[in-house]
Amino acid sequence: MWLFLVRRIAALGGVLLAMTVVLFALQQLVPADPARALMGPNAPNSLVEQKRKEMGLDRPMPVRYARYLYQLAHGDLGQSISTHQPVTQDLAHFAPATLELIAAALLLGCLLGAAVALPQALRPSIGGLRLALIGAASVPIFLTGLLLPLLFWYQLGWLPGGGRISPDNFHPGPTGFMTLDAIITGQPRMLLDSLAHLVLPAVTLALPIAVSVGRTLASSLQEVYTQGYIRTARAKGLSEGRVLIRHALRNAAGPPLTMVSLQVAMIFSNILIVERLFAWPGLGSYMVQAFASADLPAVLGVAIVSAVTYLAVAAIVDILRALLDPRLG
Amino acid sequence: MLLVLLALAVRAAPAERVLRVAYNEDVATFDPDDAILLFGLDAVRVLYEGLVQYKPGTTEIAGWLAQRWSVSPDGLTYRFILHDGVTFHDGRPMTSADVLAYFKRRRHPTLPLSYFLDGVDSMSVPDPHTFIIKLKTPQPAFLDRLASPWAPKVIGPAALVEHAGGDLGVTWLNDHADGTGPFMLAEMVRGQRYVLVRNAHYWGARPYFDRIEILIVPTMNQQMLMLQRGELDIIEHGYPFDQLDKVPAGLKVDAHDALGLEIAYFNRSKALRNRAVRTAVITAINPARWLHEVFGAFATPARSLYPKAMIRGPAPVVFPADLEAARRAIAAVGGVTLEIGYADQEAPVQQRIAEFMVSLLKGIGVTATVRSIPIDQESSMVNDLQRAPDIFIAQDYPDSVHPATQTGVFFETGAALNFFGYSNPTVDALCAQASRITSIAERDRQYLRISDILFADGAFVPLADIKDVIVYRAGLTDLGTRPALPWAVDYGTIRRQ
Repeated sequence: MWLFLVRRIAALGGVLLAMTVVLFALQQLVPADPARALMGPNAPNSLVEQKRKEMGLDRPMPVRYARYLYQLAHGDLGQSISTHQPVTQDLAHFAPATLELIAAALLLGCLLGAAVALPQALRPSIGGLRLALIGAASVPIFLTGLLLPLLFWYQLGWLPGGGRISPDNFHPGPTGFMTLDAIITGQPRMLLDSLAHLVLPAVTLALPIAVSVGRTLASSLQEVYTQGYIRTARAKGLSEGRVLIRHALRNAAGPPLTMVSLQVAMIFSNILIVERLFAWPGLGSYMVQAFASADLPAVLGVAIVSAVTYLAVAAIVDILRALLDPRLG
Repeated sequence: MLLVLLALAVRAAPAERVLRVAYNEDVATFDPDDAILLFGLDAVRVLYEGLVQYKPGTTEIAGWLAQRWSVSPDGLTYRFILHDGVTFHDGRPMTSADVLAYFKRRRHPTLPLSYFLDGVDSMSVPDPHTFIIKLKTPQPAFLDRLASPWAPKVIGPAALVEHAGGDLGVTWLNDHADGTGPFMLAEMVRGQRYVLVRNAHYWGARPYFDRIEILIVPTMNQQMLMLQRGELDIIEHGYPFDQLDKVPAGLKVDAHDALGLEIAYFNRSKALRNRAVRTAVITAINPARWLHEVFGAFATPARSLYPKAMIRGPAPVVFPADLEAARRAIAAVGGVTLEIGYADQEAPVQQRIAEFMVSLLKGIGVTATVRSIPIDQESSMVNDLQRAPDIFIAQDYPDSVHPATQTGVFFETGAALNFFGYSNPTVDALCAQASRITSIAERDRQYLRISDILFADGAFVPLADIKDVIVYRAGLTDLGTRPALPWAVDYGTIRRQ
């Protein structure tokens, strides 16, 4: 297991290094001017030139890249051009919102996926729920993100259409995760409010996950149910529930878990759209604004968090698979 | 049941004297020396105050922290007499020494807006109520620079002394404010909202609203729905022009003249090097042919290369009208292919104009394509004119209503937003001359002459004067809009009936 973890961390380092090289090289191709972005459109060229020197932008790219790596090694991701704050501080501010949304979407996606898969596996003739989910997931995510708030917020007024919490219910907490902070600080109203704000963006993100995970789990379960040990378990007189939980699910969990880790990569691309549509103040919104300001430090910062999160989830999934199936360990 | 519980949880208490507005994006800071963007100006001007300001609805300059001022006959010395009883947000009284300390900060070259005080020779405070600025050479535009939305606005000692750190207080001011204005910054949660609360000890007229909540809502679609549901009170910018004539009941529209002028910048290094081609293209893109479709009643054909709130030209610019001659000119060169770039910060409108132009140009035999130019790449176009678009269309804002700020940013050689590096020594000389003229009528005549030369050169094509449009909930009055204050109402004057 330790060797596995070491390998994972080494891979993460390699991925991050490659990513910084690519992004730095891309920056050279884009005719953007971070100094101008920082000084404003109307500032005289002389002031902008001075700022360019101050930012080290007049130096050759390898020198700037080496400097960036040196700072990165010391935990300094530089200063954001669009917020004027240290990127690490911005990431600490925006990441909890995104991670909370991703966690909610994954949880919801897995639950919905299981809700689709289990009846399918037990009685393959039941297809209504699966059809409904496939239908919902076939709609492009930006359309789901527009239609859900139109119905549940604008028309019915049941749920908030955007944002993370109502200003009146906000009480700062230690983690930045609203639901967690509400529990820690003992604010039930804040908890309900933050959950209410989570529902629509999380459902929007969760629908495609649910279908992918559900279909994989269903087919995996169907295959498992043909195995001899299931027949043996039934012959021993175990109830269908116990057969499912103790034997079938455990053996069928590998493929859907792999699918979950693949879905995390997809979530990071969808999050840009969903956060924008729902005014969700997370890394996606931060990234969009950073792009518009030639804000390379911020873009790199978000890319690093995305990569770390993806690889961490992939590692967790691998560990879970190994725990469920010792042959993989 | 769960949905009902959640719905009850989010139902806010009835908002008494709370004004809710939205920004499309986060602002970096409310520091008046560092806040370069358009969103946020409304908040900056109620957190901080300058020496002078433009009166609501006009381009006339009035006192602000200065109750009166005088200019020496040689135009070099400006003497400001400050109001009594002004205090900073922490209760400390403001004196001329505080104003001086602040203006010294503003001049620091690391601050983006330091150039507003270019040409200042010295500053002094003979007594606690008097602040004197001495210029190196006369600058008739100087008072306008001090009235600009981006003008110096006094920051207090809490920022400049106690929290100055090693960076002039820049870091502290990213999340705090210490001004003299009628509102104080109570909360700044990036990406979510900023909350301003009424300054109970404000020295001037008491604002109607106790609290201003500024929410970050990136999409206009959501802002519009929030406005209709009463979750927002105002949309200060970006309401689609094509929906303004059908705003739902309960909403009102305020449209006023502003400094946003739509200009087409011609890159004369490629296909548009040929004067006959330029004339043909100008004939085709005549704004009279598309203006109404894009802006409805909220724009008029430009009268010059200066917004009409700055200089009211005698009549709309006359475009060549002979489309047949334009077709012949294009045919004579064997066809022309152009690329039209548009500023992506106002993408929906600019893209629409660009697409209209494509179809109009097709009518004279020009094949045109369209591409968006991100704001951070606009000023880099000049570095590679061969890869830059042939035409760039944008609606940009000068710093103030003085025409020198328009020429100095867009038209003079080496100007910051002279996108395609246009250079004409005659124009530069005329601009320098005009910037020294104190008679407004004479000055405006000179600038109109410059505008004619630039248009005749086919370098800059004035297209449209676009109104600033604000959509708000019925019952709000005294918006306090100003032509020189883009995308903003005055939170100090606005009230609910």
